[in-house]
Amino acid sequence: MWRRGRGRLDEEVASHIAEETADNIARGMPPSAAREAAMRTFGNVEAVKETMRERSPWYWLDTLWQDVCFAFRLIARNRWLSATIIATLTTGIALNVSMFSLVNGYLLRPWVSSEPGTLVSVFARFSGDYNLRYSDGGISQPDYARLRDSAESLSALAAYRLTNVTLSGPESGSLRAGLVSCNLTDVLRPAPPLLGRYLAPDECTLGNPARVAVVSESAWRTRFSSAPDVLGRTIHLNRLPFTVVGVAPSLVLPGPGNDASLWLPYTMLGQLRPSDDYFDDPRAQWLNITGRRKPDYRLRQVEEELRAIARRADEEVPGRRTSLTVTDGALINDPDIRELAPLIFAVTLGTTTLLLLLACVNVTTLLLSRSAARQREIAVRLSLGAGRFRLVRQLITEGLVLSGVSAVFTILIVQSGPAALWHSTMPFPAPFDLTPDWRVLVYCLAVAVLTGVTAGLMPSLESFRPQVSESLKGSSGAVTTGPRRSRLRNSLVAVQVALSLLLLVQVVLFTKAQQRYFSYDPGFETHQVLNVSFESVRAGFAPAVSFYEDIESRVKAVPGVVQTSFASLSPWWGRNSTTVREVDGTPVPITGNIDEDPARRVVSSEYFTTLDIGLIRGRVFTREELSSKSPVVPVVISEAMAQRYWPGQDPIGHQFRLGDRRPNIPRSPIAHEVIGVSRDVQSVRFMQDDGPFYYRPLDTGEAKPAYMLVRVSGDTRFPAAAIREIVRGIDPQMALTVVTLASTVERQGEQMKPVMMYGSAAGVLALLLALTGVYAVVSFAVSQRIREIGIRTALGAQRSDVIVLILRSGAAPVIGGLAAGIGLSLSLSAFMASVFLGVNPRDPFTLIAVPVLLLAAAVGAIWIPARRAAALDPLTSLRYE
Amino acid sequence: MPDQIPMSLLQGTLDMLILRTLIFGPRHGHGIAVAIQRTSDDDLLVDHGSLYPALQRLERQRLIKSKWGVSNLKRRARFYELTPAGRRKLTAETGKWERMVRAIGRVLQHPKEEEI
Repeated sequence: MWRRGRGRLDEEVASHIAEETADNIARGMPPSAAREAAMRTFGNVEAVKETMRERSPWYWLDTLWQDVCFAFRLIARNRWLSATIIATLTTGIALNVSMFSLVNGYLLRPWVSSEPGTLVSVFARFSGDYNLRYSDGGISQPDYARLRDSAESLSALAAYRLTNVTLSGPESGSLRAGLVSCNLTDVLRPAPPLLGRYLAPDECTLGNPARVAVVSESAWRTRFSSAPDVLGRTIHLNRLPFTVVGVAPSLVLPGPGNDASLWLPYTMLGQLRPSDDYFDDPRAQWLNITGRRKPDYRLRQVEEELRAIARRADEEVPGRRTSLTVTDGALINDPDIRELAPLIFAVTLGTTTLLLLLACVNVTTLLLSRSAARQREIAVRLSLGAGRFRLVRQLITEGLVLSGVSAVFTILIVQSGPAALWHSTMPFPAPFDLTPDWRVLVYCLAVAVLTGVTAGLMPSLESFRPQVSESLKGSSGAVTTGPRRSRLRNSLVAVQVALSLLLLVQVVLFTKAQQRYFSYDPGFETHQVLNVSFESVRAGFAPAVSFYEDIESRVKAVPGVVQTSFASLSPWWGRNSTTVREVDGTPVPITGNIDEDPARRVVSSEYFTTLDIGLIRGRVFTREELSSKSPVVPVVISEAMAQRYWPGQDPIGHQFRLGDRRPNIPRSPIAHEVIGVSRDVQSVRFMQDDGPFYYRPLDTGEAKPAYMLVRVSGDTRFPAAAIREIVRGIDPQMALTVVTLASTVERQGEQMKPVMMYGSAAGVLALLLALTGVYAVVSFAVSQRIREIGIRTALGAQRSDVIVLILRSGAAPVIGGLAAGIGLSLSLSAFMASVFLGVNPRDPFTLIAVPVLLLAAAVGAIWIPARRAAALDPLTSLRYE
Repeated sequence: MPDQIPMSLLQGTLDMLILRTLIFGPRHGHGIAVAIQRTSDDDLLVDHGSLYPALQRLERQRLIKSKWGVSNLKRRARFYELTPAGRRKLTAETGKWERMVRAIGRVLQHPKEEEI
């Protein structure tokens, strides 16, 4: 367009001059003189064109083009500098955008890959006074059926619920299973199955005797060793036979942590849990629902329709009020998650933004050094009449061109980067779509523009400070740099050093937190203790008393087994809270928080020797006491409990009684009498002292414990295999897992690894960026002070004097930054303590060692330009301009 | 014409002259320049070039509009014509201009008489 505007003007002017020439000839001038006169009358053609172009609406585009061309010429001229800047910016921007891409896939887009636009998720909240049986944020099956059958605006509505089932057989254990309505595939539209099929519609009719299961690819590989003949095979889930009808690439249900290994018809609930069948109980709100809307209905219309249906349903349940929310399926619109969203954004994008900030500061430093070198060019332009606005715009354009190039690289990287990022830290493929969409592109653009403007603007602000005449005189100002100007650069270095110190301190703390899991001593034996967990019992199956007796006697006979015991809960599997209402006949106030009350674990007498938990006083209960029906229960309490209720006394023989947390309900008549005091251990949660804790005797006949702990000597693998064999011999349908307690701890540490790896990478990157920044600033300062150094050398300064001079001036901002970074780390220590369990965030070693290392690295970065300065020949440097 | 001292045009005067020239119908740039010169008895001399930024300005204010046409010399040229808005503007400005000329005239003439 603007090109055309220019052509029009050229033609108009030419025509004008031709007319005037013709007139002049008509007045009797010779042709050559006539044209000359016409030109004279017209005036300065180029000036006129210039004026008009400046006023044309396309003028800014025209000059923008000039600016862009100029910026590209500059990039080409300082090839190395530009490459450094673009690499730095690309790292910063690509990391940030990749992380955003992950958050985008996780939080902002629905977790379906095909046609995400028509997905709807329905959330229900119930209020009012009615007899609720079970609630988990979902809706009951009758309510689901009503919505599904009467909603005009939906083409399909499916229901699902995640549950644990036990798998019996050689690969037995606990599996996550989705109880799903058979039309779930119509809504989620997953990839076609690898083998067989998904569930068929008639398999979800109540009373259909067919028990079928779809297995996920990963479960197929791990549990069935990728057997090609798995179709038609019978597997036992919760001790019921199911037929495998298909293997699917992914059985992820929408939402976090919903990676199911199996899909079963939701009508199987009653058979899987005969004791607790609430399938069509209108008071059991157990189903999550998701659907597809018809394309000609909008989300609002769907919501209105479903709400109307829910209101009609409420009329049949007196006292209930349903409030439905319909969303597009993105997690951020989930009422429960929405509150967490700011935290998720802060945690995920916080580090990457910090890194981008570091990169930006670095680029500013680099551009600053260049802009200082361009001081004269800018002064010349100013004195030739260039507008300051135009110059600032040109510098910003340069920043934008640099960040624009980085953004182009970023868009290339982000096509596969986030998936790679996910893959490098997570053992399974991302359950949500990671291909960049418009949000990622807009975010990338916004980040690039902000970065470009910031990086371009900061040096340009500096460029206008010097007086034009002074800079034009050239070398006059170059003896030494002004303190004000170096202050900006120095504070940038300080900021960088402070931020990278903060990141590195975090990395060290995180590493320590993770290391603790590998050298963790909870106060009892973990390496030589096998935790046998009867998954079927956890799932509600009640074995006969003889089962426990058989197992105990046969496991004890296995070579290497030293001791066996049973427990209601094995270490770190949870907390059974109690409420103490009376101590030695005196009522005690009910605590505000149930976590302050003693925790209880029901154990057999050998629990203490199995885990090597020593007693300080008294004794443990005898075998006879395990099944005694005496109204006084003998208990072993922890030291912390003794401290709490009987400080300074011998607690042996004292009694306490439990009760309800509601004061109007009388306390329990059963008395607990202290017969022993044990050492404090950490058996409820990792890295946390148990606090008040007591052990009461376990009667295997009555309690049906789900956990057996086995102390072995020497190698643990053989006894583990033997135990599996023995259990299968007694009850082939019993699902179980056998692992050492130590491996449970280590798995916790392994789980922290991805985050730690990511944190370390961020820390190292931050360090590199900070060091480059330090190097750039000092190099630049040296190049600015070459004349000064020459004079000093000429006046007799030694090489070491020069090095000290440069080191001192270069290290000052680094030390300032380190001090600020330590302050920052200390002020964040309360937050860090909550993140890094069991690690002292004010650990003096970390807070000294990391800054010292950083300082050493920074001195290294300063050393290179300092040596260069010291090696200068005074004669050359005096002549240097 | 180099012996003549051209009067520099007051800001805004040129705009009005152009509008006035166009009252008799569309003209191209050269035609406007010639017409201004002729009607002012060659007293008001402009660099013909300075006409064009003015034309551009007026066109942007939608006081005139332009289209391509063919000049007497059979060359393509841009022809400018008044818009209704331009016509109204001209009427308003003419009145204002005449009042101003009278005022300036009085200011300039009185002190001269006293000086003599």
